[in-house]
Amino acid sequence: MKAAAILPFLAVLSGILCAQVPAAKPGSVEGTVANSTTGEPVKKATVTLQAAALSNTAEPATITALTDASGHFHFDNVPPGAYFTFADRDGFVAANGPRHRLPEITVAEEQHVQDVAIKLTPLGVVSGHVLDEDGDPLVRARIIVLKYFYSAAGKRLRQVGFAQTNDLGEFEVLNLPPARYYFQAAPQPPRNIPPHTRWARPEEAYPATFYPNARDVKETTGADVAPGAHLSNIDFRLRKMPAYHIRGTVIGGTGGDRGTGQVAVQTPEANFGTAAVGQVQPDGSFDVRGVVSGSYEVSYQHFGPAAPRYSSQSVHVADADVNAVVLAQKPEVNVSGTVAVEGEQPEQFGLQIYFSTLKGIYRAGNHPVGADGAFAITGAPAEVSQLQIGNVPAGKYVKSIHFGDRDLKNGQIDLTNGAGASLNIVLGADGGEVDGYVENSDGQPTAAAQVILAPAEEYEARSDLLKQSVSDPSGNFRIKDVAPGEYKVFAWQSNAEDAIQSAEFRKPFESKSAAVTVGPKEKASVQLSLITDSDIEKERSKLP
Amino acid sequence: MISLLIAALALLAQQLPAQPPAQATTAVEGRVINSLNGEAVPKVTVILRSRDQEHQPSYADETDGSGHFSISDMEAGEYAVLAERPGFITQPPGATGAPPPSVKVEKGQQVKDVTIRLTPLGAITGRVLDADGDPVRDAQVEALVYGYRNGKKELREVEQVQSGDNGNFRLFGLRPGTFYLKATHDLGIPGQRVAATYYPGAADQSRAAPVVVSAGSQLQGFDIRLQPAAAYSVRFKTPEGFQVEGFYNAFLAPEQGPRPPEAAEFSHEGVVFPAVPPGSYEAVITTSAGGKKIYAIQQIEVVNADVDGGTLTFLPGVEVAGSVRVEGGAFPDLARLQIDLQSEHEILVAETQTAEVNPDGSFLAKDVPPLTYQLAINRVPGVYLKSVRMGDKQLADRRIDLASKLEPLIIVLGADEGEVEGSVQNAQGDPVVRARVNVIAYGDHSDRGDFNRFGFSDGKGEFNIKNVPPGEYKVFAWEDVPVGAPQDPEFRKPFEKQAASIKMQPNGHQKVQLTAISASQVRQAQE
Repeated sequence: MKAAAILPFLAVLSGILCAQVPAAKPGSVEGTVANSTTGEPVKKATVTLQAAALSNTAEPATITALTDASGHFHFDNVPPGAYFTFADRDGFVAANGPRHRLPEITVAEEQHVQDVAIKLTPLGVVSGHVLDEDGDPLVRARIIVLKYFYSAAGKRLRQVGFAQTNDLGEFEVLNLPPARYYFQAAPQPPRNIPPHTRWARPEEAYPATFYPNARDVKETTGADVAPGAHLSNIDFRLRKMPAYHIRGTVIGGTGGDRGTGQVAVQTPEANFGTAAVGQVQPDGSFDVRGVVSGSYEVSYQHFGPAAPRYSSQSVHVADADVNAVVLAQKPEVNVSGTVAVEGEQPEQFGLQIYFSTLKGIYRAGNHPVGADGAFAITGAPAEVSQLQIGNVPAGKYVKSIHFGDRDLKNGQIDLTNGAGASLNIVLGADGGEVDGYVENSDGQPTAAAQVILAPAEEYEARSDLLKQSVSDPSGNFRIKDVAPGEYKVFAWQSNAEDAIQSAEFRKPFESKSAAVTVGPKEKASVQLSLITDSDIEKERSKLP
Repeated sequence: MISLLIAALALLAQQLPAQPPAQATTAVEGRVINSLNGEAVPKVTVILRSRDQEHQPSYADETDGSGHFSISDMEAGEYAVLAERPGFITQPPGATGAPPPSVKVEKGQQVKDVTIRLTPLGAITGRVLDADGDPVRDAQVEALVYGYRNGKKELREVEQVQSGDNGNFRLFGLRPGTFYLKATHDLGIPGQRVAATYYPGAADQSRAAPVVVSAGSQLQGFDIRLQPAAAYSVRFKTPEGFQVEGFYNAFLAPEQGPRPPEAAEFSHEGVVFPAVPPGSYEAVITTSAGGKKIYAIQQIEVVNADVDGGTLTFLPGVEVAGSVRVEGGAFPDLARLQIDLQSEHEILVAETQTAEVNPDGSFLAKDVPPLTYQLAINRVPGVYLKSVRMGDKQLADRRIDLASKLEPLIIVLGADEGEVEGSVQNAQGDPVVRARVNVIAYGDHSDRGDFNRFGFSDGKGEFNIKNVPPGEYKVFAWEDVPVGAPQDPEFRKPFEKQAASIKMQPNGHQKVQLTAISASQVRQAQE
């Protein structure tokens, strides 16, 4: 896990800057980088000045400097202009979110800009042990770090980190931003157990266990990692349980792809970790060992070219082996339809259409829409999924989605029994506009607030209708191409979490939102009061 | 890296005479001990692996607190004996890579006192520090050993860990041997770039200090001081009006040395490799246009400044068509064959371009990057690649430059492979079991590494190696030898007089008696 994102195109050459403005006399910039939690200086941070006004060269010109032992940095020979500043240091993250949106500074000719203060939030560290029932280390056990994420579909645990124990059973996870985390440990099962192996004693296995000691994450409270905290006691003591087999057959496909695949046994709805895996033999049979009692989703995965999809099966393991599980190749659904643009001849463009299901997102997008507006999508999942439409051209919005004569207001499409109807999407050109102003509790205009325009409840799952903007230095924002309808508008201090995209998450803050109704080609204005990070903190107990 | 704990083990079975009662159970039992101190090792998975896994079960048990395992109610037969516990390996006598020793049990027989010896693995701990001695967290630390690949000796990684919050690392699971440590740390932040640094603090591999790990040793204090690196950006522009479409991949293939670690960055304007050490490179950039893969290949030289590589010229992939012809015998099942186009570029070797052969012998590879390739076939017993022709011209080294004008290829296969059998003895004339036997091509075919074959001697010291193409060979037998080393001409040179020379005739059969090259001779030669 690397905290520092890969930086976009940086030219570490002040020469580029000088060359642009030969006449102006340069100024200088100095300041400090400090730990936002302790106030201590951060040494060896890389500070970047990035020209705010883009010249006609494609890349923003940048200069970098390192901080010294007292956290101090200085740039000489800075050409006059406006700059964004940011700092990077291993083990830290910019205090107010990702590295953009930091205060802009202006350097006049021969001006010495001083006291630029940059704060970095220290990232957390978690360490512990994974031991067996006797206190012996479990070597190369895997630890998955999980965190709740929010989306239009609600909150879900997602893996954000990974570690492995060493020969002493120790593990350590670096670079955790402040949040509540959940930890799951699972030991490495013995390898190289041939098929049809008989055991001299009843088989046992260690179940995947959530910290501190539960098989179901809902029975645990996780652990809060504060900025810069080091939690060193995430210790697991795993206990063996009776283990069983899940056996069956993969049907369909070719011998070639069967030979390369494996069957994964997973906790239902968990998109992280696997309870057990087994190889699929060339005849399609599989035998997954080491499964403890519980309910599972059994699925076939293979990595050959153009993998056909296979159905998964729900399997409950009580106190015996489960045999004769059949995983059949799933029929693929081909969906055809049209995209019409109201009031205009359709132009050539690539609309992205995604089908997201509980088990993941199948992209079936980027289909060029022909001059007649027709498209054909192959390989859509044969289940109920959420349709997401992306890459809507500027000046347009998705006005309606019809599947046959059904109006898919919320974008949910049922392909369980195949397509059987045409998917017709209408883009409207008569979108409205919402503009407004964000202020804080002191009535001051607030820059860099994250503005969310959220559609009414019946359209909640439509990501294309949820619009985002950022307030400018005078607190203003503007959102265009808004589908006519009712909305609630929120302004958030930070976008450190994706939570603000979730209706469930936003609910307790509705009193701080502004309701707005947008008509075709109309302009609506709202005034928003900022929802601060401490407001979120206050509501934390009520949040999902 | 994961050290696989398969493999073989020290097995001393004292087979007691068969017990007469007819109802007696068929059983194998024994004990697992630590080869260093003779102590019992509990929690070891002991596997008796069937020779015919489809029709005969395998058996398993876990050792108890006194290291015992006991498997009863077995089917009679011969089973490979495997033992697995993280932190240990089995090191049975015999050559590395040889099949595991086996135990044979008759119906109603109880084989007792099977002793399996496990060797504990070692660990190296230390810290990664920067030039000022401050700890560097999240650095990648690798344990490297010398090994052989394609007949060349090179350092390769066997274990890898990340340094922790205090720059500390613990490399574990290390087999007894000589290691080199390497640390790298790159956050993609300008001004914080470091070179790959070898313990104790050398950017140059030749100045890396060896670290000797004996069985179960826990070595401490191996601090690595990272060296600042010189690295420059290399950028290319995409042609005017060029639309990036779907799949897009770019890498720099160095003339020598490792590939720059950082991934390329893409934008609408082009491709940037942000941190490239000085050297000569070939940039290979793949994208697609109109649903077809297209490639740009450009030479660049990084000296002491950022490089502007100019505008990329994209070329379409090439179609390589041809047919397969079999000589010297019949090979009915042509559809089992595939033609591999192997590039010298490391990354492309990983995704070697292949073409399936149709039942009529024809093949067609589409969208192949226009580079130089060597042609090969997949290993299918019964045929070998004799030569490659384009029109009337024989391709030297079976090498083809796809940027030049192409005609259909004719791949000539031989179906007249022979067989070598024999026995391996030591200097005292006793049979050597589990010895590695290498059949190495010499004479006209000394460049044909794909003609080399290997096998192992069995419990009686005998071996049988099939599918040897006609030609001259030397046959070597080794008590133990690093895997891959016999393919290195320099390595095997001093041992050539101990090898048997043979000339394999089409469909021939050769019998040789070999004297094993001892493990101590191999060790001496390596020092």
